[in-house]
Amino acid sequence: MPKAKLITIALALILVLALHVISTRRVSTILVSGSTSVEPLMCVWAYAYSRIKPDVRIDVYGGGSGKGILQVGSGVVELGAHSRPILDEDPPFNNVTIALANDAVLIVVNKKMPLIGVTRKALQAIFNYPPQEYPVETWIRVLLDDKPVDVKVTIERGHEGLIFMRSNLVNLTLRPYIRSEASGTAETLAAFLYGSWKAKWSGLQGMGVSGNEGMRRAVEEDDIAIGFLAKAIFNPARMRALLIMVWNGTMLIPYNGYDYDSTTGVPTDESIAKGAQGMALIKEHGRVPGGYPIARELYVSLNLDALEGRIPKYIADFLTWCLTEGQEFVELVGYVRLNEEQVSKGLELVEAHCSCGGEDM
Amino acid sequence: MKSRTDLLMDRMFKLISSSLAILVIIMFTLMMGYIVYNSLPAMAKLGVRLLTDPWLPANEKYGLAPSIIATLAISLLTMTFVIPLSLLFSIYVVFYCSSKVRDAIRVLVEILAGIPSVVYGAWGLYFLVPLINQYIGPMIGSSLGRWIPIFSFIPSATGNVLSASLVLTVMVLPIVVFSEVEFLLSVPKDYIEASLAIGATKWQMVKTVALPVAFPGIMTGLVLGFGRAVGETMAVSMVCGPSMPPKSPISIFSPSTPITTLILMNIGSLSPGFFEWNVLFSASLLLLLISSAGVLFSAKMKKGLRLVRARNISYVPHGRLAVMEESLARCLMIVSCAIVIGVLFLILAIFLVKGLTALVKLGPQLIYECLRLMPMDGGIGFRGGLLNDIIGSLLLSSLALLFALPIGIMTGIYLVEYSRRGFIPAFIRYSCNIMTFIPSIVYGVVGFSVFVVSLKAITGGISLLSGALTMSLMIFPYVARSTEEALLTVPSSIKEAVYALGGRKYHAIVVALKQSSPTLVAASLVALLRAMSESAPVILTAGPSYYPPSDLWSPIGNLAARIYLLGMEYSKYEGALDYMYASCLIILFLILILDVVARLISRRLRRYVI
Repeated sequence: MPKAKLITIALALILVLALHVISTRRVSTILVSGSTSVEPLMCVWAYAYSRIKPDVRIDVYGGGSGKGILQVGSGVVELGAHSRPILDEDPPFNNVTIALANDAVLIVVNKKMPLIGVTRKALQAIFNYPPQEYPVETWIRVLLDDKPVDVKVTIERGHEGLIFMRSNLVNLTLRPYIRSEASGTAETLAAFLYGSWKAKWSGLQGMGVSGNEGMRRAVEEDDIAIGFLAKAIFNPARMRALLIMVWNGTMLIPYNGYDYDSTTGVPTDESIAKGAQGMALIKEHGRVPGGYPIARELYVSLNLDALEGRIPKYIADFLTWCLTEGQEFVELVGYVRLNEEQVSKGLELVEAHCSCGGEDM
Repeated sequence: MKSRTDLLMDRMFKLISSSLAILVIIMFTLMMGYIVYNSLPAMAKLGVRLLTDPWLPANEKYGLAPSIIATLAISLLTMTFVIPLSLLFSIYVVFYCSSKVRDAIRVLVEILAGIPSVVYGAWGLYFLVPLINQYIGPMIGSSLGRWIPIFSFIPSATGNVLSASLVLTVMVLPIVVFSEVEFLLSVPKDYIEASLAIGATKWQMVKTVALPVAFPGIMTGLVLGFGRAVGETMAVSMVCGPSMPPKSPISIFSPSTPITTLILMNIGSLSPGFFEWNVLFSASLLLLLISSAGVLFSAKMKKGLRLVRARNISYVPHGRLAVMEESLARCLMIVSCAIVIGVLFLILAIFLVKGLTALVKLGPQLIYECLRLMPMDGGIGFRGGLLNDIIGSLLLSSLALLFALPIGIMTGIYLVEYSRRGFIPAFIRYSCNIMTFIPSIVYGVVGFSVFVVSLKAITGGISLLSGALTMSLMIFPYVARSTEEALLTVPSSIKEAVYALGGRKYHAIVVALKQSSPTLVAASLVALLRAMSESAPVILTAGPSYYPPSDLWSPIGNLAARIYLLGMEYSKYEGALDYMYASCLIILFLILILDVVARLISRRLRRYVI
């Protein structure tokens, strides 16, 4: 018995000692929780920032935008990350919300598919969201003998979710793919199709694939696939980004007149930033001049009440860093950098609420 | 002998155990109250439409029927696999094989029962789902599926009802076999020998004596398995598809969204102000109703089948039929044993090979560095080790056990010694049963709003303490029920001896506890492993953090949650799968060590057993 007791005591001592050694380094900790879309970006930032400022520890958890808003609202974490704006249903709190990056969703098809442009109405019919009455009549832009032609088609939904686009000129069959897990990408597209952020749960319909990677593979391998992807995963060799267009009475023109790369169809970063900043997604018809409509900002929020009214310096420093030097990591994670206007707006917000010059920590 | 301190101790014991038992009732009522309170707005507004509508949140329609059907389909299919396999397997283990083989198999099964569900989920996601979609699905679809619609194959890249049930089968099987073996072993030897003595073949003996006698126990095990199958969240979400929006599965190959998955996938983007939040809580209430129906059904079955024992039995000893039956049964048993052990070894082998490969690739830093997601050329990826998660897992589970043990054991004592019959003990038993069926994600949400938000001043918000408290809520019902069962097996003669020597009730209880200590150690091990393997509550209450904790009030890492995150959300980043396999291997290794430690302790304690 004494032996067993000795061993137990020794083990306990070792544990306490280990914990003590680990905990001796005094650091200021910033807890970040929320959107799984922001999580990887935050993780990378946390790592890169710890290289510059070893005395600040940033701990990142995912869980979803709602969780982030809830947790920052109840003062459990310092920063709540969310990829949707704070809505009326969310718990009210004295928040400062700063955009840290832009996220854009591309509608993609296999390169063999002769489709190059679609309207919002066509997308609603393809993904049956919100649920549609078929047949749907709309315009699409297709390649006929390598020339872009605008044609009016009727869209029908057939067996196993296949989509048929028919007119006297073209006869296309598409297989829509959706993300089977809850994903920010699908949510973004759903919000665009629905017209507001009321669409909290994407109800897009199609064949389920898992992850951005699954979607990429599906679109690369299936000739009749249509899906949606984050911009960073786009592979120009095997797929084409569809143009989002509107019918102006005589021809199809890009939505909001946004700029795009004419060979791949991918919108330019500037048009994405414009669309995101103008919150094209939550405007009923996404009307933001020059803005790509399926784009959103990724945010973090702070709860001023929990921070005694001012943003502590170590948090303000981190946010400033994210908005400036940190931006170089944004593309690595798959998002689009902020434009200058967004950056200066963020910096102003941080500065206005910062307790700079005050005591550190 | 009857000193004042003894009297005081006796009173204290009674007071503590009764008050802890009442605490259990309060906790259960709070828990249920929380779920009901949160689901009321949805129930009131939608009423029956909660069941009849389709699931179209965009049109304000929140029908849960597709998810309920998916849950039922998956768990019933699971039970169709589990019941024959587990019964044949445990009969073989108990009555047919040698005692050495039996011991080896028992160790194996015990270890397997402790493997976190996410490990099985990872196996399902990376091995089973591709296998089904590429080979099994087309094969069955083109043969059976031509005539029978539920076998028709829909080509897809995601999981489906079948893969979810198979993963659940593998997960639930050890739990069920574990209890079946226990109960078959507890069939009195005289019954068995009497039956064999009058000329029954072994199979006849099993069929007419062992199975009916052990039936109530077997049912308990099956219901436990059913509850796990219904309430499992993480592993199922990894392999069930899921279809968004949920659709009723029409074939065993259709993607589906069972209730737990529906909750898990949507709750993160909501906060309590949303109407949808209430809808999800009504969903979990429905899930509880399904589980309680299972419990009630088994109770009825137990009562109904008591009669079997009284039936007259006539054997035709060594008739041709009996011999044929015997050999057929043996054949089936050997086949099912081969399947069970084969599949389990396959899983272990996969994780051993993949895990060791990852271990070699990642190097020794795995155990002394913390995980980090960092920029690399051409993207981002994981580097470092899993120290934060290993420490976090160990601390969280041991702390949770530390909280759960006193409550659980005292409640068990209360149920056996102080109040065996009546409303309160029945209610406690009922609440413990129901609490084992509440899906872990609901525990997570309750733990979040109670420990993380309301009690932030004490628990420090997202922290080891909040996580451990939430986890202890999950495991104490199991501890309580096991304590009760263990104490009931202590022969009354021992207690009588204590009283005859002038001991008080608490002396008797202490003796009884010592008598049942090996069983209690085994139960604590199971509880500990359960706390180590749950991931959903951790994600909501304790992290998982990328750093080791500095004190009780700081967030922690967690292996099980990490496996889920690496396998599902982060699988696209470089190194994620290597770290996932390494985490799986480490957690298997930890289970092995804990099992050995528990065995050693249990052997030491065995000397108290008369």
